[in-house]
Amino acid sequence: MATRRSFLKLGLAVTAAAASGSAMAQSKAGKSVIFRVGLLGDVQTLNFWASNDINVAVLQEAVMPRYGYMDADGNVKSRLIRQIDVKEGARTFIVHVTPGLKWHDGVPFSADDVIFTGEYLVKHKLFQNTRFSNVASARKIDNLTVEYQLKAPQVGFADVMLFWVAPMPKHRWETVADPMTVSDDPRGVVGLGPYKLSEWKKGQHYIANRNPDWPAALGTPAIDRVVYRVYKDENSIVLALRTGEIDATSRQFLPSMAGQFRKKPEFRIFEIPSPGYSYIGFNGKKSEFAADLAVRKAIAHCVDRPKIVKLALEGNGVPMHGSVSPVHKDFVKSKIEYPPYDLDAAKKLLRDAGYADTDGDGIVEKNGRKLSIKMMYEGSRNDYDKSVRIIKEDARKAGIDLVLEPVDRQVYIDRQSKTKEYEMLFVQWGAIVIIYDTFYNIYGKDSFLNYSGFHDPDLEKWAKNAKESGSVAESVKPMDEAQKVVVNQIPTLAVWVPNLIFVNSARFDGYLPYPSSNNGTITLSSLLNIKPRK
Amino acid sequence: MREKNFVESFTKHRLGMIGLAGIVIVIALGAFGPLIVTYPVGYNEATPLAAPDREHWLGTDGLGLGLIAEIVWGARTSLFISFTAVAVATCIGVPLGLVSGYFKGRIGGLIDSVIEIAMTIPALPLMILISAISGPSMGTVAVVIGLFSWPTLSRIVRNSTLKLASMPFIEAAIVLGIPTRTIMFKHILLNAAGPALVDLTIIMATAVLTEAGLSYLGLGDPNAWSWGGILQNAFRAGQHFHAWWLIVFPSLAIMFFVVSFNLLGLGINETLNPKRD
Repeated sequence: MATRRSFLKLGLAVTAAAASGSAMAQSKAGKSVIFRVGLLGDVQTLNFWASNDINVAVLQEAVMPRYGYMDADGNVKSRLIRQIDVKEGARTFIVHVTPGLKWHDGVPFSADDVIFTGEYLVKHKLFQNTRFSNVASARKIDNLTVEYQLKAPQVGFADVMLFWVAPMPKHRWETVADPMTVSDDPRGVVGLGPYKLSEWKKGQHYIANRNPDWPAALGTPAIDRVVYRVYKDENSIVLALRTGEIDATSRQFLPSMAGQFRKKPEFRIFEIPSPGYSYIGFNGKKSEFAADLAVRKAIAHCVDRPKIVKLALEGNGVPMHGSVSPVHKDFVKSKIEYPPYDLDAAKKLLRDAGYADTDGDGIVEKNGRKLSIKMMYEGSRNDYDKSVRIIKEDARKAGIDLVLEPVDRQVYIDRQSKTKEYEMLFVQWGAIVIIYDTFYNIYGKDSFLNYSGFHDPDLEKWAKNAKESGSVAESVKPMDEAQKVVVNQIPTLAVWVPNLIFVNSARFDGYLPYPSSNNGTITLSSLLNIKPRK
Repeated sequence: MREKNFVESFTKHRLGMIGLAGIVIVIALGAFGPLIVTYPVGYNEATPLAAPDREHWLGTDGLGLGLIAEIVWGARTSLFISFTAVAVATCIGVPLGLVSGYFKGRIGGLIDSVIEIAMTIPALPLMILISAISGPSMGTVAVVIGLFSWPTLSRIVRNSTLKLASMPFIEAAIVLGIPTRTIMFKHILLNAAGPALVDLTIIMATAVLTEAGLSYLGLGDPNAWSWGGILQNAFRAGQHFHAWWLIVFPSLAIMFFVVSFNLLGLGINETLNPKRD
C-alpha cells in the first residue's frame, strides 16, 4: 500500500513536472531535478548479468554500473575499482576495490563481491563470463583487495574487467541456483550505482532516485531522479523530444531525423564515432543453406557496402570490409577483408557448388530445394530495414531468396540469445572495444556473444592466442590469423560502422558524449556531470 | 429477367456506377499495371527521396525506388488481401448463417450464439496479436482479416434465411420433396445474395483498411509491396516530415479503393431496396 502511495506521489510529481515545460528540470514542490530518458523498446530484464540488451545497459549505467569506463581518449578508467596492478608479465592482477561503496541495501561492497562475481558468471555462463575464462584463481588479500592469477598472460584482462563487468551483490545472488531464469527481482533491484531503481512498470517506465550513500569522491550527481520512458518506435521518441517530454534518448538518429533539431537552441546535437558495427549472422544449425560455406560466401559477394551506407545510413557511416572495425587501427593494417561485392562471383560460387535455377524463377535450387533463407532483424530499426532490403535485392540477382523477417524487439532478443530460432540475422554490435580480447568473446566456442555456436578450431586457437597475449603488439599477429579465418569461413559478415548522432535537450548542460559508448550521452560519467542549465 | 432488371436499375445508380468504375480501375491496375511498370526492386542511389517530377511522377522513396511502381504493385496486394479475406469470410459465414437460419432450433440457436460471441470479440487487438505471433506474411494477414469478418456476413445471411424459409415458395419446395441442400443453396442463398453482396463489398473495403493498419504498425509483409507498407516505411524512417508524397499518394490509393467499394455497396443496396422510389 505504502509502495502504491509513494508511486502515486512520484507519478504526480512526474506529471506536474512534465506539465511545467522548462520548469520541468526543477519542480517547485521538492526542488528535485528530474532527467527523462527515452528508450526505444522495453528493458529486456532487470537481471543485468543475463542480457546483452542495449536498454539494459542504459539502465545499468545509473543503477548497476560496471567497474570502470572508457574516457574521451579511449583509455579505460577505474571507478568502482580504484586501481588494478599488473604483475608478472600480465599473469597476476591485484584489484583494489574503491572504499566507501555500499550496495543499495546498505551492505558494504567488498573484495568478496568481486571474487564472487567472476566465479558466478563463469559457473552459470552468464553474459561476460568469458572475461574470466583465463582466470586460474582469485584470492582475497583483504576486504578491499583481490589477487587474480591467470592461466596465461592476458594484457587486456584489467581493461575488459573494468569496462565490461558489473559486480554482483554476493549476499543477494549466492543463493540463486539458476540466475538465467531470474528476471525482475520482486524484492527490488539491489545495485551499487548513484541511483536506486525505485519503481518500474514493464513496457512503460523505470524510475531511479538518487542514492544518498554514493561516495562523493566518485562524483555527486546534480540529478535527483532519472525517469526512463519506453517508446515503441523512433518517431515517438522524436516527437517526445520535440515536445519536451524527454530530455535525451539512447537511440541514435539518422541525419534526416536529426535535421529537424539542428539550429534550434532548445536542443543539443552530439556526433560521435560508433564503437560498434552492423553485421549479418548465419545460423548453420537452423538452415542447411546458412551452414553451406558456398552460400555464405555468395551472400558476402552480394553486400554492396558503400551503397548501403549511402542509402540506409544516409551516408552517415563507413563501410566495414573486414571483420574488425576500422576504428581499431592497429588491427586493420593487414587489410584482411571479406569477399568483395561481385554478383558474378556469387553466381559462379553457387554454380560450382551445385546450385542451379531449373525452373527459371531466378532462384537457384539444390537437391530439389530452393535457396531460400530467412533474415531476422528488429523491425523498428529503419537503418536495418533499408540495409536488408538492399542486400535482399542483390542476393536475388545472384539467385538467392532472402526472406525478410522483421520482428518485435523482445522477440528478436529472445530468438537471438535464448532460443536461437533464426537462420540469418542482421543486427548491430553496440560496442566492440578492446578488440584483441573481445574477438574471442564473439567467436570462441562457448562464448556468450557467439549466438550461433559457430566453431572453427583455427579461429578458436588464434582468437584465444590474441586474448592471451602479453602485450597489445603481441596480439596483432594472432588477430590477423583469426581475421583470415573469419573472412574465409564467414560466420558473421560485417556491413557498416555508423556515426552516432544523439539529440538532447539543452535544458541541461554537461553531457559527456564518449566514443566508447553505444548509449549516447546516457552514461554514468554523463549522469554524474549533467546539470540543469541556468 | 430479375437479373436483367437488377443490372438495368444498377446502371442508373450514379454513385454505384462510379464505385464500380473505381473498382474496375483498381483491378485493371492490379492486372495490367505490372505490364506498364516493373516490380520495384533494388535501389537507386542517385535519386533517394526525389520529389514528383517528369521523370518520377509520384516521386521516389528513401531507397530511390519510384513510388508509382510501389503503388501499382501495392494494388495487387490490396486485391489479393481483399479477395482472400472475402473468400475466407464467405466460406465460414455463409454456411453458418444458412444453417442457423434454416434449421433454427438448437443448432440454429447454438450457431447464433457463436455468431453473437464472435461479433463481440475486439478484432483489431486480436489481429495484431495473431499477426505478431505468426509473423509477417500477406497470406496470414488476409486469412486473419477474413477470420474476423465472417460474423456480420453470417448474421446477414441468417436473417435473410429466417425470412425466406417461412415464405410460401420454400414451403412448396419442401412439400414437393426437393432436397434440403438444394433448397438452401439454390432457393434461399440465391435470394439472400443481395444483402450478402453488400456486406462483401464492405468486407473488401475494410480488409484493405485493416491491411494498411497492420502494415502501418509494422505487421505487414516486408517481402511484398502494399500501400500500408509504403506508409509504414516512410513513417519509420521519419521521412513523412519532409517527403509529403510518401504519405499523400498511398493514402489517396487507399481512399480511392475504400470509397469505390463503399459506393458499389451503396449502389447494390439501393438497387435492391429502392426506398427513394
